[in-house]
Amino acid sequence: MKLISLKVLNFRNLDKLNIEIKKNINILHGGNGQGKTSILEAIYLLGITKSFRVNDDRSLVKNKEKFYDITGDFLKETNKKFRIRIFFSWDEGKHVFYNQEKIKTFSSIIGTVPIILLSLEDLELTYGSPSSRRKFMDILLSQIDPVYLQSLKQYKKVLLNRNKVLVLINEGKEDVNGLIPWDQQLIEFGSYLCFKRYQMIKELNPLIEAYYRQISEVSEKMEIGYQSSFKLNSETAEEVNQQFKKKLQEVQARDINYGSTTVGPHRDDLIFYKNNQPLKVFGSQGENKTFLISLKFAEAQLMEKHLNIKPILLLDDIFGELDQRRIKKVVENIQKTDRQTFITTTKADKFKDSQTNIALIKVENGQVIYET
Amino acid sequence: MKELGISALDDLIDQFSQLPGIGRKTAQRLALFILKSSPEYANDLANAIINIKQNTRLCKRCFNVAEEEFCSICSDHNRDVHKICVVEDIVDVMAIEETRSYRGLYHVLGGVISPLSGVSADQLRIKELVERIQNENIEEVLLALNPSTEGEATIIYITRLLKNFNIRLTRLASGVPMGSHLEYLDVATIGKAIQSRQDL
Repeated sequence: MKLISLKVLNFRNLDKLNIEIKKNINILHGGNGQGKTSILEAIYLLGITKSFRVNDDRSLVKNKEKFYDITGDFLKETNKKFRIRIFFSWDEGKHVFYNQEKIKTFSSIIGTVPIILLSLEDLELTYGSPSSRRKFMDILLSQIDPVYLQSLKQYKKVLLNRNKVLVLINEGKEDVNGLIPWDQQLIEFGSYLCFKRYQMIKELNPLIEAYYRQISEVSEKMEIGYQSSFKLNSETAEEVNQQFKKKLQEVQARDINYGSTTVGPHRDDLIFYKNNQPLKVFGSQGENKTFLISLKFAEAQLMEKHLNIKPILLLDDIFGELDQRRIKKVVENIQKTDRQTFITTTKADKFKDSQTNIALIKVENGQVIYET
Repeated sequence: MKELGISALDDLIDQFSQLPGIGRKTAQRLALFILKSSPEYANDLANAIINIKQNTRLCKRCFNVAEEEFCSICSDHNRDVHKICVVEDIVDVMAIEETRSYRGLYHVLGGVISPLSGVSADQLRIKELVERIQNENIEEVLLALNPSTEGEATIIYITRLLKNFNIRLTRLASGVPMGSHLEYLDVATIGKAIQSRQDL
């Protein structure tokens, strides 16, 4: 998948922007606050339909304006072109278009333009709350597997209802049997989510380790552990279903007592390990960054395998904390894979010895200036 | 538009704007239409509204809308009285009747189980359904509820209650809508359709 042109109007600090993208690797460089990350955010929106920084679209509209409008023209591997447009206004809300067609359910377009993002917020993935790590899994899997996204939405609805029933039971207003209709659905959707996540982590691990070794040139054992709220060690979805069911039964009294569901994919977490010890505690900043870049490359490869489409990589300011040698390795890796990549950085000098497939794009005051 | 301070007009606008799907603007347009219409039309409309409340009630057996004690379907001798189709609301009866492909009776639950909206099983007419199965000679119960998580929960709940009766218990198939194209369908629908595929 390639983005060939991007039009942005009234988005963040971008006034009016037209970019033609001709190269595979695009270095967006410039000082702080010039609009580099906003460009990445606009591209991200075209793929995921939501921002990675805020939930409220109103805060994405340029100050004093009433709407934003983002249009991207894409070129598929099959050489077919298509257009995605996202329009939001204070009055009319958000509209998503695929070519001329207005998309009713935004989520149905997710996966059309597969996107891998490494943002500054992602640096917190290792240290931050479990919810950020669940979100990471959900975004990746939703792009690969539409059934996952559907199940996730259903799971959340069922969970809210089940929690309400738990409270009612606790207050003596509902019978324990009132849980049955919700448990059955919670198990069905929840076990699918857990199974898919578990499988994905298993697939990611060898890839992460390989990329980490390439970039760092040291042989550390980097891996992700899936920490489930119930015993999860299975090869089949059916077994996961049974394990979840059993655990839900076991903790029923506790759930009623708390008035909330204490096990399930919404409570699961990931732990990042370096040589079997938590990276959070035993890793340096540089190691963390290298790990996360390896993770993103691994994600991209996984996505490519499942979708047969090369994802677009958005790497926001990833070179801080990395030494020259590792930066060189990262760039080498990006060049090797032929995936379209957008990188923001304040220092472009490391690319000045310009390889041919790199475009240096200077972002200044919301405008772009091509240099090569 | 500014209110004109004419209370008869403002009252009607207020009343209209409480109708589902009617906003303030549309309510104003409707009220002005009636203001300009003939007195006969306004009278007929008012009478129709009064009539629907005075001359209808819920069917004693199936809770569909009725003019007498029993609704037109329950009192139709040509219907198959051994089948009950369980629906969420009266509007679903209308939808299924339009198909002319079902000749049995109905049972209107009056909603689905939805803890978040404060609807529990005992607020629905599930007890009445069980009584009908005990007292009438029912052979089949078709659960024609919407395939939402709430509809699904209600199906699971009712299935548990009815599984010990000697009846055929069915639910609507979910799958590919008539006249549609696979490429435009969402994956959940196609996935369900594949799961519930039929032998030829």
